[in-house]
This record gives sequence, structure tokens and C-alpha cells, in this order.
Amino acid sequence: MDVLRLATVLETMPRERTRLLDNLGRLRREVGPITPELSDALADHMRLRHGDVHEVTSFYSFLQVPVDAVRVCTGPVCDSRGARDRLDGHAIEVPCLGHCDLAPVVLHGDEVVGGVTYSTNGFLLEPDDLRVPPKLSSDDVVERLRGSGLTGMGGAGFPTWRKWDAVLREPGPRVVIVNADEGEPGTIKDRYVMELRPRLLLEGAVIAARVVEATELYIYLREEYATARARLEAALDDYRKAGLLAGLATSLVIGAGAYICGEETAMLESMEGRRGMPRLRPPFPAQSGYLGRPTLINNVETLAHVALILRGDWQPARLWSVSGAVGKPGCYEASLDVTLRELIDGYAGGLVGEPAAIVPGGAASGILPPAALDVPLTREALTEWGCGVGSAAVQVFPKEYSPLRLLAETMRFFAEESCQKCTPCRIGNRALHHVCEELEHGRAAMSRGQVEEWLDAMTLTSICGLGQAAPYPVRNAFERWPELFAPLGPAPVEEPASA
Amino acid sequence: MIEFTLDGRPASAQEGELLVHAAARNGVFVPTLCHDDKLEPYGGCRMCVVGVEGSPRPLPACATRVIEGMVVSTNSNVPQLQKTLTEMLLSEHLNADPGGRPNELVDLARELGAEAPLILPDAKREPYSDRNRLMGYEPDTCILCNRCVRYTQEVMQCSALSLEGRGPEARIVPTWERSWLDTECELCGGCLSVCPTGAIYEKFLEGAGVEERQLEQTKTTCTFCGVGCQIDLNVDPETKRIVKVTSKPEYVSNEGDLCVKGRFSFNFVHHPDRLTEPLVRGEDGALHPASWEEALRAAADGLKGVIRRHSAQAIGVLASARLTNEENYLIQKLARIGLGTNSVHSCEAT
Amino acid sequence: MIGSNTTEAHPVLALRIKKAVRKGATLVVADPRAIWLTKIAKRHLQLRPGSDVWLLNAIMHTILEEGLEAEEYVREQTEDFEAVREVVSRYPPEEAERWTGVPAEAIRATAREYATERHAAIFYTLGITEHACGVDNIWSLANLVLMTGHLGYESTGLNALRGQNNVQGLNDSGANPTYLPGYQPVDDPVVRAKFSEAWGAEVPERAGFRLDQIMSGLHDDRIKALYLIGENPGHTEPNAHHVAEGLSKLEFLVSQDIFLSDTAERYADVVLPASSFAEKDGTFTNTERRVNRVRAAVPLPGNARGDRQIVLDLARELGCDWPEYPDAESVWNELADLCPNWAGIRYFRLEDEGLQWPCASVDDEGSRFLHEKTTARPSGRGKFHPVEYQPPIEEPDADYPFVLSTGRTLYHYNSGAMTMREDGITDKQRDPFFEISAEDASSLGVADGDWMRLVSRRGDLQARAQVSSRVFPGLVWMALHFAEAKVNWLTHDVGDPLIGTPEYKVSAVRLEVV
Repeated sequence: MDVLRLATVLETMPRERTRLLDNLGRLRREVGPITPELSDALADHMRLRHGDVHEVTSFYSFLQVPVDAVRVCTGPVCDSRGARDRLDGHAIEVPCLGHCDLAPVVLHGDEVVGGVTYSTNGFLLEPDDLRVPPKLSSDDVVERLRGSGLTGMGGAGFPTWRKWDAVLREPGPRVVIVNADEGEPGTIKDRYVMELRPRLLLEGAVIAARVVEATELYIYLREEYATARARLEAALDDYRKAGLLAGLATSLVIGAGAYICGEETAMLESMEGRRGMPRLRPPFPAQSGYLGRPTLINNVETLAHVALILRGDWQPARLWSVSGAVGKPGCYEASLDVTLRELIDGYAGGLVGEPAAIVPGGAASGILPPAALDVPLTREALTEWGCGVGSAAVQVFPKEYSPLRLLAETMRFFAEESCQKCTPCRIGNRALHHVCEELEHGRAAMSRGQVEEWLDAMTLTSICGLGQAAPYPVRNAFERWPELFAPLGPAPVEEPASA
Repeated sequence: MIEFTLDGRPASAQEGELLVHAAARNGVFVPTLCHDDKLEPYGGCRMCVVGVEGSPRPLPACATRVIEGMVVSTNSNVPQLQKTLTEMLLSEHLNADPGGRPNELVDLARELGAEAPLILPDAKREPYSDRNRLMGYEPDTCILCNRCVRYTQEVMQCSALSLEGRGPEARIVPTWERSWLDTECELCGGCLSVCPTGAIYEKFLEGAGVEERQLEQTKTTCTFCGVGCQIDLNVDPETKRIVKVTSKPEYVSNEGDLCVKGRFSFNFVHHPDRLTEPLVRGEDGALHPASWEEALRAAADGLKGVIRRHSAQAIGVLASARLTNEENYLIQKLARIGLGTNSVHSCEAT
Repeated sequence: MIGSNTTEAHPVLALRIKKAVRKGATLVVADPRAIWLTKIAKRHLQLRPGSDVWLLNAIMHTILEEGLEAEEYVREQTEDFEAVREVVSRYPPEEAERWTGVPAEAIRATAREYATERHAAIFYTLGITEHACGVDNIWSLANLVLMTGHLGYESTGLNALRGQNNVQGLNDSGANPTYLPGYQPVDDPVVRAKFSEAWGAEVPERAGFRLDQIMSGLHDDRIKALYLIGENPGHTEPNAHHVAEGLSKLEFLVSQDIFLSDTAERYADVVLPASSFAEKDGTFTNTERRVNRVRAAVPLPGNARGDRQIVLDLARELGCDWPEYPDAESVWNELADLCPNWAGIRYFRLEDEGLQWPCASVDDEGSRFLHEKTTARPSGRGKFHPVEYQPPIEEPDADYPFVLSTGRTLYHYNSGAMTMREDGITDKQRDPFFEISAEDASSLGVADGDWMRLVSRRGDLQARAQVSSRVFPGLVWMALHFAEAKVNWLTHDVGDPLIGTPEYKVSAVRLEVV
């Protein structure tokens, strides 16, 4: 470790706890991977306890890893395309890197090995010009959002206007956060927006900040998106020069490799310089968010839609990330009720080979059988299949990739990304991963009845969406491919409702 | 007071009271593992979830405050959830008793009839060894309730333990896996006292087969500073030796907290250097063992001799803050009317 | 917090302070060292050792200058205020900055915060009292408290944190040349008569010697015999070499203790093996005047006897005809019967938790704080004592350029007789060490952990240098726990002129590389 360099860098680092993650990221880039000594030096500088910095450092995947490390994505799509063959002694394994259209994906430092190409359509291809947002009253904007029917594109699908309205009802100062921590396996759409239309995103973000009368705007971006970061910074410069950020303190917060930080309250914890462990709710971020202030958190794509809606040229549509066994993986704008087949044939170059399983909207959205190819991908229609539309990340898995393997990989992902705080998520996901792996060898680690009880406990008692939703794909798989689970024994008979 | 409904019966609670407390006062015991009244609500273990009307999911009673009209249920699916959560914790609980401390998880499992349906293949954690001689830590007993770490953060506000990593790798270790002797740890053992499973324990009891529940506890007052911490001396009924020192949250002066001296400095009581015989200086100038009769006579004669040769005013008596009020009272009485001098004082006269 | 390294000397009480700060309380620490509490303090007043009076007078100067005093309280409840007003007017913060090293603005801010907060309490320990001007320091603090009316209700007052388990009770129970039990003055004939009657023997009229007078009496032949109970003045008293010399001149020395101290080994004529706290029944009184039960948990080792038994045996041997005293409770009852403020405290009431005196009757719940209606002085009025600054007895000079201050650490207790026998604790702290600033260490060419010799006019010792940001250049600090390097070989024994408490906190030393 270069002690002089460290001293110089430390001197420039702010001492507020909210800057801890940022400081750690900078130390990693400018001095080296965070060692216990570096951690302690930063703790002393920031007047934090050594353990605080140790806890935060170890929570994230990348802080103790060199910046030029080789990172191999082993998300389900990459795994299905042989990513694990690329793991050699030095490479580290990371969950979905958000470049599923290019699977299998390897990052060398910040660079995507083999370069990045885009396959897309619609507004993503239009010129990313800088426009001054229209001057509208807060009520007008909320009313127009309400009229548009826009819902959040991050996964939960909550009506956007309601969130805005809820934050507006709380006393200021208020905060707006752009959730750019895209990490749901198979999801690439936010990266497409940030790399192709960063100014459009900022337009939506600035509108949000003006409408809720926020004084601070943050963009929480995952560390792996180096290109998006550069383009956002350039776009922010343009905005600043154009005077559009006057009175609005704006900053980029860079993550450090933790899927859970995409969860709103985990993100808040992360931004406040603590481990990204979700908070207990209530209170909700709209009431008490960043540093206890009313906070509006919107997904990247959602804000792009907001900008388009207020420009007045929006038709209800969303961005579909399509990857896996298709001809032209990419990110496509299509209607909200498109079917899988329309999406794959009409945009993504058709199926390659015979599909075995299709994930409609990210890891927690569930798993569909090929029989569902003609179902519209709406919340209502998918509910009948026990699935959700999630973040609209369609992943097509070929026959050669068994649904059991898909399920095992999915549960492994949840297990590794669990923040560990609550029992059902920390232990349930690991147990289910183990159950799937044992099934691949024809063995039963638990009985079907016990698995069902554990799934119930996960759904009902997990603190956040990660643990609550993780059981979906398992239940789907029980239903669609019962033969794979035969070793677990029969499903428990529903007890008749008591009189 | 506010009114709410608990398992179909009317109940009352204080404004802002935690559900777990309100339930207990109304006769409903809700099990907890990660909760400690000293610490901020955490809601991690989920053992205390209860049904609350209007909430799509059960809520943790340790972190939910009662509000007027709340309808709470601890029957329906709650017992099954408690049992499943206990099974989950047992599935990575590889060592139930590293150091003789009570294990609340094992107690709970017995009560709920819960057994681990499987042992997780990654349950085994990296063992932790530490050259300190006071506190041991068995990671395989830890249930990650984080009470110990939160104690260091919220109560001691020191940096001794960290919750490290996430997912299957998550574990609790002394900060950066150093020896406790090399962290800011003050060896107070507070982490040990809040651990519900005995994963942190008195190291000198490791493998001794001494179980806390079998020890005789005598409540007394600590001897190390003016705070007057109330402590329990835990005595092995066979050897009649102090085996460890504990305290309880309900003790007023210290609320169950102790410092390194109070918790760990008791071996001096049984130290081989303890004086066990009276000694009298002989003609040869050396101290020799003597009977009590001889020693007391020598002491009295010596003091009387000084009074005779000089006066009572030539005698100084130094009492001690080590002694009880009763002893000091008798000492000053002895000085004043036994020896005839008011010159009784002590080194702790400040 | 002034002159109290609370996290080390009163670790469990410090937890309450930490909790209060976490809940939003304002903490100001006045201490020459950057002790742990400064980490969570709003402000650290790092004053030079011995400059407390300057600091406190300047705080009062600001309060009066800005009209922040509690006018009504001062008028109705106190006396002699004008004398203090006159004195502190000559202690402006700017000049205080030169004497104390504390920035004037920090002094002013502290004055404002303390004066305007209703629930403002002062805690002090030996950093205030162990000075030749110890009484002055206390008076200054008392002036500050009276001036702001921070007295007589919850979370206020001037709070002494007692260093040892039963310092409070030791004084309460009359082990004091001036007071009979319960602070009843021995020079009051009515009081003497009361005790003489109760005890069936005459309480001597002649004034007794204080500790410092007993110690100096060793040298001028006033004191010929000592009866030591659990005390080791050869270690804990200042200028310890001098003390040893005095002890060697005694005609007779009785030591009653649980370990054979080096003092006893060398000088005692009779050594009586006594009881540890775990082997006896009785009570200790803590720093908040709470009388707590002590209970025997284990048998005495060998032929050792309980201290109560030993004193009774010796009394009988001396020809006293005392009551039986079959147990500690019978002794306590005699004390409580004779002391009105303790009259309501009885063992049956102490089963679950202790009681705080004053407690006049068995219906009295005890007192959480003092001076509620009026101050506990005969006039009912709090008395101001004007205090002028006096420099420490021994200031650094060319031969002895460093100020040495002393104190306790978390891990050990006084002479170390108990804690130095705990392996688990000595693993953390065993060798004698002293704290020195990085600047001084580098100019002397020593590194952390190096052994050095500390030399004063009275003795020398060797200890390891601990390079520390806790002390400022020119100041070194050492704990008193080390038998092989007794810091009291170095300290001087000129104490407070009124009460004789030694100035452990300021001596002059030089450092030599070994």
C-alpha cells in the first residue's frame, strides 16, 4: 500500500457518513482494494468505528477486489450459454451483469469483453436531445401521470402518480432518488436507457424533483455500468450548463456490487453509509426515507416514460429485455399486453431451438412453460400462471437447460444476494438451492410438505421483496414440472377449511 | 392507555408500547431471539411475527408499536410460522453448547417441537480462534441475530464485533477477524451477555461441562468502582468456587451491564497467593505463621505497648473503601473507643 | 464531564452517558487528555493540568457577562454571591485561553450551553480533587452550579463519581477523623455524648489526624503504630519512597488484608488474613448514595477470617466489652439507629435493590437527589466561595521538562493486587506504560513500545512509551497500577492545605532513553 498516496487521497475525502460508500469506491480505484488497514484508515479519517467500515466493506462484492479484475457473469442466461467455462483461476463470479443480450458476458475491469452492441427500437433510437421540461403545476403533472396509467417499471408496478402524490403530502425538505441499480437477472432496459437516452432520463428526474419540490436528487447506479455512468455524467454536465439543475443538488451514487441495494430501503441504508439491509416498514420512504426525509424513489425507465408523457407523445408501452435462446436478444419497446410469441417473433428474431422454460420478468417473476407463449404479458393474465410481469425481463431457456437447473441457479442467486438479516430469506433460499441441487441427483433433502411450509414462512415473514417473492419460481416449477420433484414425495393435501 | 384486541380479547397498552411488551402484560408470551430491550428494535429473526388485521403479512411484535384499535392474533398460522422459523435456524445450528451458557433457541425448539429437517451444506462456518483467555466464540452456534454487534454499536459504542459479508458467507466476527485483544474491544463481555444461544461464552469454561443453570447464584455488589453494579456470583456447588460472574437487566444500578473487571476479575478470590494463616514477625525478623490467638494477642499487645509508651494519639488506623459499611463502622468504633484515637482515615479520603 | 475518564474508571456509568448522548444530550468534556468520551462529545476542552480554576472562572465570567445566571435562585437560595462576581470578573475567556490552552470561544459556548439548559449536570472525579488546589476546584464547580441554579431537581447538580466500590460508605460510616458516622462532627459535644452513651465508652475529644497528617507523622515521630485494613500506602500514596522510609520507623504495624502486600511483607509485625468481598455479608454504598447489599457466596480460604470478625476479636483482645454482633445486619442496625439520614435503611428493604440515603424512616423511599427544597446547609442557603487561581506546586522546568499526570486504566484496579492476578486481563495490559505525544516521542527518538526511564525529584522508574494522541506535547500520563514501576515513586506529596488530598495529577519529570 502506498502510504503517501493514501494520506493524500484521504485528505480530500468528506467525513459525512453518507459519503462512506463513495469514499470506499474512490479508495478502491485510487489506492487499491480495501484491506483491513485501508478500512481502518478511512474509519479514523471519518471518525467512524473500525467495525462500521468493516461491515460496510464486506457487504459489497467488489470493494475488496482490484478494479481490473475479470468478472464473469453467471446469471441464469449467461449460465445457460456456458459462462462457467470462462471462469479461470483469477476471474471472479458475479451475478447478472445486466448485459444478457450479449451472453455470456465477461467484464475486464470496466470493459465488456468483445464490446457492446445494441439491438433495440422505438424511443431508445431517437436522438437524445436536451429539452427544457414544460412548466406545469405539481397538481397538473400528477394528474397527467394519473391519466396515463403509468406504473413503476422496476418490478413492483405501483402507480407512479400515487408515489408522487404521497411524497408531496409530506413536509419538506424532500429528496428524489433515481433507482439505477438494475440487477434483476435478465434485465437490461435501464442500461439501454442510460446509455442511449441519458438526457431523457434526466428530464424525467428533474421533473420529478420540481414536482415534489425536492432539494436533492440522487442517482444510485450499479458499479458495473461504467458506460452508463460516463454518459450520465456527460448528460448531467449539459444539464448543469443549461442551468436546469439550479437549486437542485444532484449527485451520482455508485454502488459496489449488491443486488439487494436495488430494494428501496436497502438503497437508503446503503446511501446513508451502512450495510444495504432493508428497513422494516412502515414507515415507507415516501414518509421517512433518505436521512428521514420524505423520499421519492423511481426506476430509470419509469422516469423516461414520465418525460415522454409530459412531452405529449406517449403511448402506453414499456421496454422488454429479451435474452436467451432467441435470434436477436435486445431491449424492445412494445405494448403492455404483448404476448411472448409476439415479442420473440416480432422483435427478438424468433426462437432459437426448442424452448423449455421462459422467465417473463426477472428472477422473482416466476417460470412459464412453453405453453404460455401466447399469453399476454399483463399482470392479470400472468397471475393465472402464478407469475408476475416484474421488470419485464424475458429470458428464454432452451431444452438443453433443464428447468431444475434454472430453478437451482435462481435460488442460488437469491441465497447469495440475501442481505442475511431475516431468517426466512437467509436460510430458506439456501435450503431451496440445496433441495434443487440434490434433486438433480435424484435425492430429497426435505419432504415436499416441509418445503411448502418453508415457502410459506418465506412469503409471509421475510422483511423485503427478495425473500417474499423467491418462492414464486419454486411454486411454478412444482406446478409445471411435477415429475422433477417426485423424490420429495407427494404434495400435502390442503386441509379443509375449518368450520 | 390505548385499547386493542389480542386474540379476540380486549387488551390495553401504553401509547407507543411495543407489541411484544403489550402482549406479555396481557398474558400472551411472544417468543423472541433477536430482540433485546437494551437495543433498538431489529426485527431480524422474525420469531415474534403476529397477525395484525389490515396488514397483508404478519408483523414482528418486537418492532411494531401498538396503535388504538389494532387487532392482533397470535393463533391462526403464527405457531406454524414460529416452528418453521425455528427449524430454519436449527438447520445451521451445528453446536448447541460450546461454553455452558443457556441456549434460547434450543429451549424454543423443545417447546415448539421443532427439529431441523436438514442441515445446510454450507452451515459450517470458518472456525474462529482467539488468543484472549476470557471470551470464546463458536461461529457454528451463532444465529446471526446480531444482538452482540448491536450491543457493541448501541450500548458500548465500541468497535469489537462486525456483521461481515452477506448471504451464505455472512457471519459475525471480531472486527476484521482480529483477536479481541487487538480491536477496540474492552473485554466487557456485554456481547456475551446478550447472546441468546451462548455462541459467545466464557472461554475458561470451554469443555468444562459446567452449565450456567446448575450453578448457585448469589446476588451481591461488585467491588471495583463506585457505580455499585449488582452482580450474580455463580458458584459451582461442588467446588464452592466462583465460576463466573453474570448480571441481570432488571438490576437497577447497572441494568445487567458489566465491565471487564466486574465480569472477569474474580479469580483473585481463589488465588493461591491469598493469605490463609495469620503471620507474626519473629525474633529473626521474618514473618511466621501463627494461630489466631497468638496473632490477635500480638496485635493487641503491640498496640497497647505503643499507647503505653506514647499515647493513643500515636496510633493511626487506616480503613478501606474495599470494606463494607459495617466493617468500617466497627473499625472507627475500635479506633475511637478501643484504642482511644480519632485518627481513623483511609487512602480513599478524596 | 470534568476530570473524569469515565469509560475507564466508571465503565458502566459511562454507558449511561453514551446512551444519553445517543438520545441527543450535549456532552462537553474538560480533560487534559483526549479520553474516549471526547469521541462522542460535542466539545473537548483540553485544558492544561491544574488550570481548572481559570477555566471555571472564565465560564462564570461569561455567564455573568451575558446575564445568564439564575437571578432568582441566586437571590433566594444562596449567599456571598457578590464576592464571586468580583473575582470572576478578572477571569475573561481570552486570558483564560492563555492559561488553560482552551480557546475562548469554546469557553463561551460551553458557558452558554450549560447556563441555558435546564437539565445540566456536572460530573467530576479525581481529576478535580487530586490537586493541591482540589478544594478550590470543587468550590469553583459549586459556584458554577449555584450561579445557574442547577441544583435540587433531576439530572442536575454537582456529581462526584466515587472511584472505589465503597468510598461513599467509608465516609458515611465514620472512618474519618473529623466525623463520627453519618457526618456527625466529632468536635460537637452533643454528638460525642450521643455516641459515647450508645457505645458505653467515651469518644475521645482530641482531634484525630488526617491521612496526610498520619503519613507525615511517620517522619516526625507523631505516629508510632499503624493498623492497616486493606490498605497499601506504600503503593498508593504519593512520594512512595518517602512513605516507605517512614513506615520503616514505625514501632508497630498491623496489616489486615487478603494478599500480603510488599508494605506488609517488609514492615508488618502482625498480618491478619482477611476476607474478600465474595466471602462476606454487609453493604456497600455507591456513588449515588445507594446502599447495596453484599452477600457471601463462597467460604473463606484456609484460616482466613471475615474482617468484621477480626475487628471484633481484636476489640475483645483489647478489653472492649461490645455487643455480640452476630451478623452484619446487627452492626448496620446500630449505625442506622445512630444516623438519622440512614435510619430508614434496613436490610429487609434491601433485598431486591438498594436505597439511596437520606432515608429517614422505613416508609421513606430514599432520595434520588439532594438539596430539593433548600440546600443542605444550616442556613438553607448555598454558599459561594470566591476562588483565585493557584499554580500547581511543581511546574516543569529545564531539568524536569514534562508534566506527569496519573490515573487509572480500565483493566486494572489501584495497586493491581486483584487484577494483576488475572491472566485474561494482563493479556490486554501488563507492562507499565506511559502515554506520550507523537511530537515528544519523535523529538526524543523513541517509538511506540520502547522502554524509557521517568525521573522526578523523588524517584525514577521504567515504563514503555505508548505514543498516543490522547496527550499533548509536554504532558505524559501514567497509571498507578504497576508494582514494579510505581508511579507514586515520582509524585510529590504536597496536598491540599485544607484536606490534604495529594496532587497526583501534576508532577514534573524528565524522560530518559534506556
